Amino acid sequence: MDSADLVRMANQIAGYFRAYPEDEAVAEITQHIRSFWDPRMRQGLDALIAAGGAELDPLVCKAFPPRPVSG
Amino acid sequence: MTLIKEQDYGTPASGSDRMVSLRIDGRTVSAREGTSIMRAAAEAGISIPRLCATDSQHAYGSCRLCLVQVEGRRGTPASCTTPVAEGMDVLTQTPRLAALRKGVMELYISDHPLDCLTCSSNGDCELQDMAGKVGLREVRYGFDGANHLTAQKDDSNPYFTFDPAKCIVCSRCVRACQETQGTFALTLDGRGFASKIAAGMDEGFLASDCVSCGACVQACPTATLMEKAVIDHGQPEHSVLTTCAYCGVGCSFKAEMQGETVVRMVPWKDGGANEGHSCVKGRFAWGYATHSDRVTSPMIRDTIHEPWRKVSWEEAIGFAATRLKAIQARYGKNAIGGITSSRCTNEEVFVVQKMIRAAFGNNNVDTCARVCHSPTGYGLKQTFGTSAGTQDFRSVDQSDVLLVIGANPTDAHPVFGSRMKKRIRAGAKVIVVDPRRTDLVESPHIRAEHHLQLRPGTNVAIVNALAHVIVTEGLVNRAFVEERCDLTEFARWEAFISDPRHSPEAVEAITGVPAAEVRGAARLYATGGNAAIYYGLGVTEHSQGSTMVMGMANLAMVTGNIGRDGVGVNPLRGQNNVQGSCDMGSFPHEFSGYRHVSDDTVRALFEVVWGTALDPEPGLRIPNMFDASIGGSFRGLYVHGEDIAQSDPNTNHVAAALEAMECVIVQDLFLNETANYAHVFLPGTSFLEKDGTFTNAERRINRVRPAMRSQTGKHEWEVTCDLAAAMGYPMRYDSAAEIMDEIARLTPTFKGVSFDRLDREGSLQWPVNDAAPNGTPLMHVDGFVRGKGRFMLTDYVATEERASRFFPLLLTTGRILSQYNVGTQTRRTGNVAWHPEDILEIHPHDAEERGIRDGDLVSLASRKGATGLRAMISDRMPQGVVYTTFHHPVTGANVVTTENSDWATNCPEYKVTAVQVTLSNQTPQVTAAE
Repeated sequence: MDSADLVRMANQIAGYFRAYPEDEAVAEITQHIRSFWDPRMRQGLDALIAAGGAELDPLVCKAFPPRPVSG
Repeated sequence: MTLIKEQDYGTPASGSDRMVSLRIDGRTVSAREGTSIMRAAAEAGISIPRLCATDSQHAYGSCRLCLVQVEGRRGTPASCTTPVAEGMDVLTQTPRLAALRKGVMELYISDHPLDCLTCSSNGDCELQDMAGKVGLREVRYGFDGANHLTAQKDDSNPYFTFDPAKCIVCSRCVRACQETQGTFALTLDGRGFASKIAAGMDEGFLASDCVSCGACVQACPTATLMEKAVIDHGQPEHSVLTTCAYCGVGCSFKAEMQGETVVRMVPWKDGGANEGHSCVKGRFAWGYATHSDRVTSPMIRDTIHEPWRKVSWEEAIGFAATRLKAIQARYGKNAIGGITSSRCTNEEVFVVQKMIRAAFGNNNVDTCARVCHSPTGYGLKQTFGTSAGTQDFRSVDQSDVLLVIGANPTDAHPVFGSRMKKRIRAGAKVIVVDPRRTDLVESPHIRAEHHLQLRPGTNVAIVNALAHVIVTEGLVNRAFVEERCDLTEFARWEAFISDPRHSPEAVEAITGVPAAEVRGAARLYATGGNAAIYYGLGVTEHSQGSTMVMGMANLAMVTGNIGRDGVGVNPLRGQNNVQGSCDMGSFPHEFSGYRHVSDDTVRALFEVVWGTALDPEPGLRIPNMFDASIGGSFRGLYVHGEDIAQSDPNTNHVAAALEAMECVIVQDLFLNETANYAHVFLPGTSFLEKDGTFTNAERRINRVRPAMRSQTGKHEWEVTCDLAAAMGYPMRYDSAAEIMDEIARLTPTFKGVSFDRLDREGSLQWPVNDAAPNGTPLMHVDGFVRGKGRFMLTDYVATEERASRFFPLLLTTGRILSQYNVGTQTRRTGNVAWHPEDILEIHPHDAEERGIRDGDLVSLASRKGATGLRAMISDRMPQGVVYTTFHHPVTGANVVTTENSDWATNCPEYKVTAVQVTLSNQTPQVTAAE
């Protein structure tokens, strides 16, 4: 998946939920992306966040904190 | 099978609950107060001769055939204009009346061609019938006097002729145009003997403002207005009741047939959605079904650069399945998917999504609602709890205020548009929120109270400003909110919306709408009585489409305009079965009935019935499929009855995605633009061949019945079953009714639906279940589906698409009355007479700045691409905004639209594209910027 598209879509979602208190916004962003994004898109988002997520809205990064590397 | 003839009662039904008793021809009859004598007699089975009366129009009293005698009253009053009264004693047949009627008929016939045997109306002519009824045997005046027999016939309209020589000037056509259609294109010109029917300023039907809805043709009691198909074929001999396959109004029609040939389509009086009315598409534009371009044999090719090869069904299905399985073996099971069609039946859609989930083994299924009303699904589910409009169409008759946002119903939903106009003429006030001056802003006998002519992309700022006024001026319906809504969410929303940044004055610079106009509109909506919101793709096809839907739901809840007749939030659905395709589980995250695939209980229910494990993860949406194709993880697509290469935004991106795929299967009537990228073509069936159901914008499930056998030899659902079986998942049904039975078993809102029941009852509006065994015309009557209504915060976030020095204008796209979406159907009909090419509408000032004159060829360029088309200078457009349609592939309007989309659903932002328009000497063509 094109990372620019993923960034744009994720940031738009954060843009909507920003009107809510941060903890609620973070939970809603997580829920929204889990409900509507195909796993490969979520994996792409995880990869962007793992790489620093520089272009991502901070709310998105909080919604999908980097997973600890196993093993 | 017989020809269905609905009874005509002569005058409309009375709405009174009070009954009166009277005697007609010695029989005691009972009728509602306000009923005409003519109708009361007809209801009692007594037929009074008439010519100018028909029950779709108010009584006119001109033909003088329906005269009756009333005991104790002088004269012979017209029964159509005389209401019944308690104790009235009426005689409909007396020697005096017979002589009068015969005399009237003599006058009519003295100026009428005596060509009954060769007349196209022979066998279906009310004048002929009346001559028979009154026993006309001679015309004492002869036939040599002054007459109209040499008046010139107008055959300019592609579908019907107007022959003034046969006209009896009863004015039924004029009144149909006024009362039923609301266009006022026809008039009774001249006086006395010179009286004649004129279209427009007498320039002929095609050149006039006639919209060719067919109401006048249907109302004509003679052969004056006559379908050309009847002239060519003669009278039909049987009828098949079915449902139109164009827009989301879902009009019921009688397909009037000779064998398997359609002679004409006549709107059905008892059709729940249209009640006997039609538009130019449903009434006349059905010829595409048998057009010579139609492909009826399966075809395959190894690469998209090779010619097509006709093959058997078995070979085509085998080829497709082998390719899809090979893709899955190489790239994984999630590398393929499909798109269901909103033009197909519920049953066809259900089996396609079942095939994808059960045979493909993933949830990569989506539907064209993605690019139109997916934000409706999201927004209404969040606020009200279900993804559907709240009202039936009849509800508008009880509305006092209509708030029409981003919709142009007189063009895109014409039959409902006529109903709206009728209500507006009866006194309802209308507020239009639209960048364009549509017919609901200003047209004959219509003038909006407020036209909020906003800049494209600023809907949410406007809806917030409307809500701000309502909250800060104390117009909240507290009783409704306290009883019906989540008060915590309301309190938060109330504080949010009260912030001065949402005031009309604060957003005026963003929207371009004067604050006073917004305040006036908000006050009217909140205090004007029953207020209903109707909206279209001008709401949804934005980066904030879902936010706007929730903003409108907030407005309805805060004013208590939900849960009864005359109010509500109503999406005007684009395609005939877009509601149904969504209901049937076409979204990648939902099973039928809008239940998430991750819900273990729901999934288990499907797994038991379908006998296979199902994926709990959401699949790809259409734009994601394109991105994944270009990214290399998605390689095979089944496209059912959609032309994504023409309809989806950023055409070059779509083409690149399709080109990258290893197997594209197109199932359609024609080799459409998408078929250019296909490896397998599976021929589809037209609505005239289908057996199934469509669900319209008011959740009405209507039957679609075959008028002719399948031209391909198979039902579409059979083809889908064959492909599923070839993929290794046996799927078998003996009939479409059996598929509906499975839908009912698996979908709570369809629990009480079956073909048997629909055939008995005509139509049903979901939910049809134990709580609502007879269906649900109005939603959320006693409570919201989700329990308490949920106010959602709706901050305005500007779209990323901005006008700039290089692209200073904003393009918005839409539809025109005579054409339908990508034009696959309507371009293959006589409708091209009205709209042979896409046109760019541009404001006079913008045109003058660029040296553009009306009719000039121009180049339309955006950051994504460029195309050429002809300009029409129009002050319907605001300065800085241009408009076009996407009905013609040669124009390729979507070459210029962008990948921007709604934040929640990925519905494309068709309505805002920054463009430049320049003079061009090129004929329309498409160029790529990428």
